[in-house]
Amino acid sequence: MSADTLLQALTIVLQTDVLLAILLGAVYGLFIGALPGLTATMSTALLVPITFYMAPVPAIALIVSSTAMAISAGDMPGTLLRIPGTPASAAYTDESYQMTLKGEASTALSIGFFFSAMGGLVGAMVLLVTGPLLAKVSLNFSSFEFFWLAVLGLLTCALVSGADAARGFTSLLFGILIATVGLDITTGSPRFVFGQMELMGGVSFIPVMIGMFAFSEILRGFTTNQSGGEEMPKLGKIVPFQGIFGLFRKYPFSFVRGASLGTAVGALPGVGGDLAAWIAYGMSKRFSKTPEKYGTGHPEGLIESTSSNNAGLSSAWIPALVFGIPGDAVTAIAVGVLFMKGVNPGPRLFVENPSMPTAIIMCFFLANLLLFPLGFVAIKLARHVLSIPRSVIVPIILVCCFLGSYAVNNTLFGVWIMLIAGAVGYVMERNGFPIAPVILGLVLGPVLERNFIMSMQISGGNLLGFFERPIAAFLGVVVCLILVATVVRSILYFRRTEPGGGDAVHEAQ
Amino acid sequence: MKISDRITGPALSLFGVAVIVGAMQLPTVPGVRFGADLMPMLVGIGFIGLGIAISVGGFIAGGDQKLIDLSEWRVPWRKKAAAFWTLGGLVLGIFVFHAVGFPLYAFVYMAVLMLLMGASWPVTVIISPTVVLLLYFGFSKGLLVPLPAGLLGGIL
Repeated sequence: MSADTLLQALTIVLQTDVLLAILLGAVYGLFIGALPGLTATMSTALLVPITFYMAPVPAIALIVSSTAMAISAGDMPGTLLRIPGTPASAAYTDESYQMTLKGEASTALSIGFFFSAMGGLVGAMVLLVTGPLLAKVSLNFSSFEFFWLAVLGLLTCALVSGADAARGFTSLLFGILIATVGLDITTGSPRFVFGQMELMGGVSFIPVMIGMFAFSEILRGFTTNQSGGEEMPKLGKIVPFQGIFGLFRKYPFSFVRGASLGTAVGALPGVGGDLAAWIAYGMSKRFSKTPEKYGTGHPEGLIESTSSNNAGLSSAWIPALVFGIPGDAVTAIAVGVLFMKGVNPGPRLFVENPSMPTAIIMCFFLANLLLFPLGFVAIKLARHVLSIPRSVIVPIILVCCFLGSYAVNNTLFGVWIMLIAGAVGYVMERNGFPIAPVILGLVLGPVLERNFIMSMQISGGNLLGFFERPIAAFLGVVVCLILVATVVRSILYFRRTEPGGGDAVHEAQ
Repeated sequence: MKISDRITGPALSLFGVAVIVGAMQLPTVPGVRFGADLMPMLVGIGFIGLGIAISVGGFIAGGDQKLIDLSEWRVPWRKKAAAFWTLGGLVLGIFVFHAVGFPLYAFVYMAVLMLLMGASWPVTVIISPTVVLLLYFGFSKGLLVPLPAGLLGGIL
């Protein structure tokens, strides 16, 4: 990457609108992430209608900073109430809550923000260095390689987002099917529009996403006991970041290992950062000299896993920006926003307009640096933020859901889509069908279909043609191996399932 | 709401068949071998296969699980009413949106939900109109989203 590109990117990032977007996104992410039951993905989904009215870089800056902050702030309800704010923080909620019970809430919250920021900076650095290099390599990719990459992304997402592969794939197919609605990309003929003019342009991913992530989550909240009234334990003295450098010196390897692992796992297409925190926590315990202390309020595992989730969050943008294959639900949303703005993420973006992806990467640095001061404030205000009742927040979110879905095309059709998606999302989640693959399928469906049809036409319908180019062959073999392993694992799983145990698979969810 | 795999699986397979039938109705373009029907066909086949896999899993696991389990909805009436209003209030909103207008509809929707969720009257009376007006002016004046003022058109 040339110094010119860096300078141009810096000029873009230092524009008032971008800086403002980063700051507002961070404050918003902090607020949403800190509230129990409201996830980072949900916060991103609710932002999309606003990004409609923004230029591409501030729009993505808003998403980047809100997500980074929401993921970090998601540790707060986990630490104070034992309710994980995000799937990533669920990995170490028990550990941080035990610290709170020991009167070390301040340390646990400080670890959350400090090491999240450090991990995020490492991930952003890797993204900055490897992005352009990978883009150069992938410039030679044809429809065959992009087809396999899309399949790989969809496949891994379907596999890692739930305990049961069949359910993950079903969700994925739902997403791909929704993506086929509208005018066909090859022949221009309408598909599954049922005479509705609004469906001619396809199903907008915004109301689907708002419905599936925000609306369904609210519906689910009515069935559980998470409707407010959670009692906070005594927090002790809250002094943000006190003793954090001592912990950094004591557990340097935990940080390095967590950040490296998070970066590596997050960069896998379709995997994202959530899984990284779980693996990091497990790995930390395995390599620790004091594994018996895990689960009793020990900072070591907390440092490793919290470093990994934000590192993974940054590196999840490597496949999203370089190949246009989102790494997780948040990057799927962001890729959708970029497409909406007429910006096609992929290797060409790094060649034709390198300052834009570089500016987006720089937003990560700023967003993660903001974690330090805002984290300081958040730790100070922790008990107040958490005391806002759900009876106030949920109605506000629902009105925002309505407005967001309406504002897509300024019609009520979007609200219908949101409602249906919300109801379907609720039933799916309650029955163990993960939601993220639906969104990835919806965003990647057209990419998959376009490259598949193109490849079929090039190869004259010969499937072996998909394996003729070396990189395509490698990716194809990887995909086939994953599929075979999945089938074998599923067969073994069902063999182990004892008859009479109920529907074991979704009982396990 | 939990649905047994013994229902979900066959339903998915049937849905797959419906998708394939739908794909077969799509118009073909002469000279185009791989057209609009290819992807939906593959998706339909996928649904049939996955439906069978889920059914087999459900039947192997067997057990005494109910076909449809609604026990998670055994919650206090307020929560049930709030869930009903969450959905029903939005559906109602779609029908009265243009006639009543966004500010009034959103205020009623928010206020009812807040009260059902246990917010106090003073909090509801202060928060709901404030938030609705902020959102209304933010979206309609700031972002130029054409939100109907409806019955409050003369005031706002």
